[in-house]
Order: sequence, then C-alpha cells, then structure tokens
Amino acid sequence: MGIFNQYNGSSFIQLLKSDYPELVSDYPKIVIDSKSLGLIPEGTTITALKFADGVIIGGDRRATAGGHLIVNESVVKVFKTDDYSAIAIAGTFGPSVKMAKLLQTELEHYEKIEGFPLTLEGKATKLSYMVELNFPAAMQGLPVMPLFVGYDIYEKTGKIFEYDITGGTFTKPRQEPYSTSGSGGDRAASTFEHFFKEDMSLKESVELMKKALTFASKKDTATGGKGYIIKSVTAKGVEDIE
Amino acid sequence: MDIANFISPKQLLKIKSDIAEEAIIRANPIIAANYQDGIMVIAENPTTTLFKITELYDRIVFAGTGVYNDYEKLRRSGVQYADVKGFTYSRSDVKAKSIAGEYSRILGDIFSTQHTPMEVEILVLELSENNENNAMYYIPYTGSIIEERKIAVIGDIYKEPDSDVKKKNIIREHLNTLENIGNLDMTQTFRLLKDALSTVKTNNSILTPENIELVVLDRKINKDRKFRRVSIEEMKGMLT
Repeated sequence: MGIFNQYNGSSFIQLLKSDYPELVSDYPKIVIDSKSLGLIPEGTTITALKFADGVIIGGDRRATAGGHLIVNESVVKVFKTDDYSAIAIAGTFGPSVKMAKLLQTELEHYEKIEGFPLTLEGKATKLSYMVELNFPAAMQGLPVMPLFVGYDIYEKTGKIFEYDITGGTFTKPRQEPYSTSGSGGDRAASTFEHFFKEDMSLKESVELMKKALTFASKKDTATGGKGYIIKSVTAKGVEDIE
Repeated sequence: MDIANFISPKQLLKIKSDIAEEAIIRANPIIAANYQDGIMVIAENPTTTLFKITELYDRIVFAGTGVYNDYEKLRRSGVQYADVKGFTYSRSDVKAKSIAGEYSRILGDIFSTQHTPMEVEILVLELSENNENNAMYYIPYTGSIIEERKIAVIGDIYKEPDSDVKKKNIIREHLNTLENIGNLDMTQTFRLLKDALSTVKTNNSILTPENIELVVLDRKINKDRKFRRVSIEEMKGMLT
C-alpha cells in the first residue's frame, strides 16, 4: 500500500494521479499524426431514452478504423457503472472503455471510503471532470463522448446526462427526454424526434430504440454489428435487455 | 537524545505492548464466524455511522478495534490498495492474503521503529466458495499475522476496573466450547455470537439490536460484492 498513500481523500482518480501516476494515461504528451489515426478504432451510435419506469440506454456493436475498415462486430459500448447508473461510450474505443472502467472504480471507491454512494448528480459531475481531462487528447483525434444515465432514487425518476467534448454537461430536461451521440447520433435522434411519446412502456421504448439504431446503421457505415446492447435503469437497478 | 538508547530492547517492547493493550482493553471485542451462507461479523457499537466492520472488496471484509483513528487509517489504506489492485489487474486478483500481508508489514514497521505502536487489532476476512476455504487473518499491533479457521476474535483483552490483572481470550474460549458453530444458519449463529459478546459485558449496558453492528459476507447475494450490513429490524426479527 506503500501504506499510507499521500492521497487520503475519496477519489480514486486523484489517488492514481498522486500515488500511481504510471497507471494514468498520458495522452496529452503523445503527438498523433493523421496517418496513425487510421489505426485507432472509433465510430458508433449510442442512445438513451426515458420511459415510464426510468431510462434505457443502448448502442450498436461495431468498431471501425481508418474510416471504412470494420475492426470488430461484437464490441460492448454500454456498461453498468453502479447499481443505479450506466454509461454508453462513443468516440475512440480504447480511451472510452478505459474511462468507463475508471468511472466504475471511482464510484465504488467513493462508496467504500465514505460509507455511502454519491448522488446521481455527483456521479454525473465526476464523469464531466473525466471527459474534461481527456480534452487535450480529444483535440488530437482521440475523442470520448459518453452518455450517462441513472435512476435518481430520491426524486424517483430516470435522468439522462449529455456531454460535449470539453466535459460540459447538461441534464436532459423533461421535454426532451432522449439523447444520442456518435457518428450515427443525428440519424438516431431524428427517429426519436418523430416517434417519441411520454411514459412509454419498457417494450415500446426498446422497440423505438432499436428502430433508431437500425436507421442510423443504414446511413452510417460506422454503426452496425451483431445486434445491439441495451440496458434499463429503474428503481429495480440496472438490467440487461439485449 | 533518544530515550530508546537507555532502555533494553526487551523492555522497550514491553512498554509499547502495554500502551497498545491499554487501548484495546478500553475498546470492544469483535467476533467473526463462519455460518451456513458465509461469514458473520459482530461487534458492540452504539454509534450509527462510525463503523468497525467495513467492506474492502467483493468478498473481503475489514474489522478493527482499538483507537478509532488508527484503524480508520488502516481501513482507508486497505480500500485504496484493493481498488488499485483490482483496477490494474482484475477483480478476482484481489485477495485477503496480500492485504493482510501489507497490514502485517506496516504494523510491524511501526511497532519496531516508532515510539508508540498503532493501538489496534484488526481482522481481514475473505469469503470463499465453501466455508473450509474461507480466509481469516488476525493482525495485532505487533504486526504478526495469524491465520484463523472458523472463528476469529479481536479485542479479547479485559481488566477489572480496580485491578491490574489482564484477562485474555475469554470469548475465544467460550466459543471453542460450542460444538457446531461454523455451519449453523444465520439466526442461530447470530444468537450464539450475541451471547458470546454478552459474556464479557463490563459495563451495565445490555446488548440490543440498537447497539450491535452486524455484517455478513453472504454467498447467496447475486452480485460480485457479497458484503451486507444487517439492519436493526432484521436483527430484531432473528431474536423473536
């Protein structure tokens, strides 16, 4: 434990930066040229949608590189981050998955150190900080643009958080309870625009999400793969739908 | 001038041990035992948020007695160690043995090199697939590490208010007389352990669910994390 690390707070990320800097990615110091960018997997469509009991979040399963080469068709882009929240990642595959894993550890670490978990707002803020940390790398061609969803156990409602590339975050207000991201995000959003209804059942919302993802895959070569991954986040916790 | 130069090493160790033991005598004991579905840990604790039995990782629990500040520091370090290890490798790579080994190293260093030891006794417990393979490590302030089976007790040192005679291992000896402890169900084990704690009540308070801290590592929990804090209502239910 090197026992008694220098850092004694409740953040796992700060602990790594302070006592285990070798475990933190050093992207800003790497200079990437456009030719090497072609080797890095990216591209996707991810979506989040509110329904009667909470939120569902889902994404496609394809990873592409160099604009047109399919690298993988069974990638998982949606992760459970704790009992009442989940994240979907878009952008460069490597740093995105690392960010999701780091968020999982961060949330668990905080809960164990403090004795109680963060509020949903707190979790969303932490993710915002992590996206911001990645900003220099994003500017060099390694963006990470997640969608974060959770079930707020105090307000008894699902919530969607959208992030821009600098880490700026805003909660989706009640009138626009869906969000999309990734190269196919715009096309998926237009499907939601047409067919979204308030307080849909789980079945209806999953059908709508699949419709949106399929439409996105028709026009975006970076979206596709073997089916979709969809999870629901409700008062019952995070459940796998697909 | 360091006073240590004027005292024999043996005497120095005795002085440090006395300091630590005084603190442990003032604190309450903690009992851990196997039960049908895993491991149960019980302590007398009148507070509602300052816990003595806490989660380190999926199947690993920490229990500390003695000076709160000291075991709280060790607890936080343990959580940091476990999470860094789990993050760097995988969740299954975090084992109680390595954490206990680290605690042993630190406590030993502090005991031999610092003027005062950490006034604590700690337990690191790990749930395994079956009870025979559960790991229980007892690490006192000296840094020695003892592997226990079935039952582990810390803070098992007492002193009558007006005497200098220290009595040790009262709870441990009581538990050793109970034949089938280790495979009983949750209710039976809870009752037995509560009674064991009651054998050494030194002040006049009675043990009730309101001042008991009860934790289980429950194999039946359908998540990676098997730690569960038992509520007062549930304890009351088990006592009726």
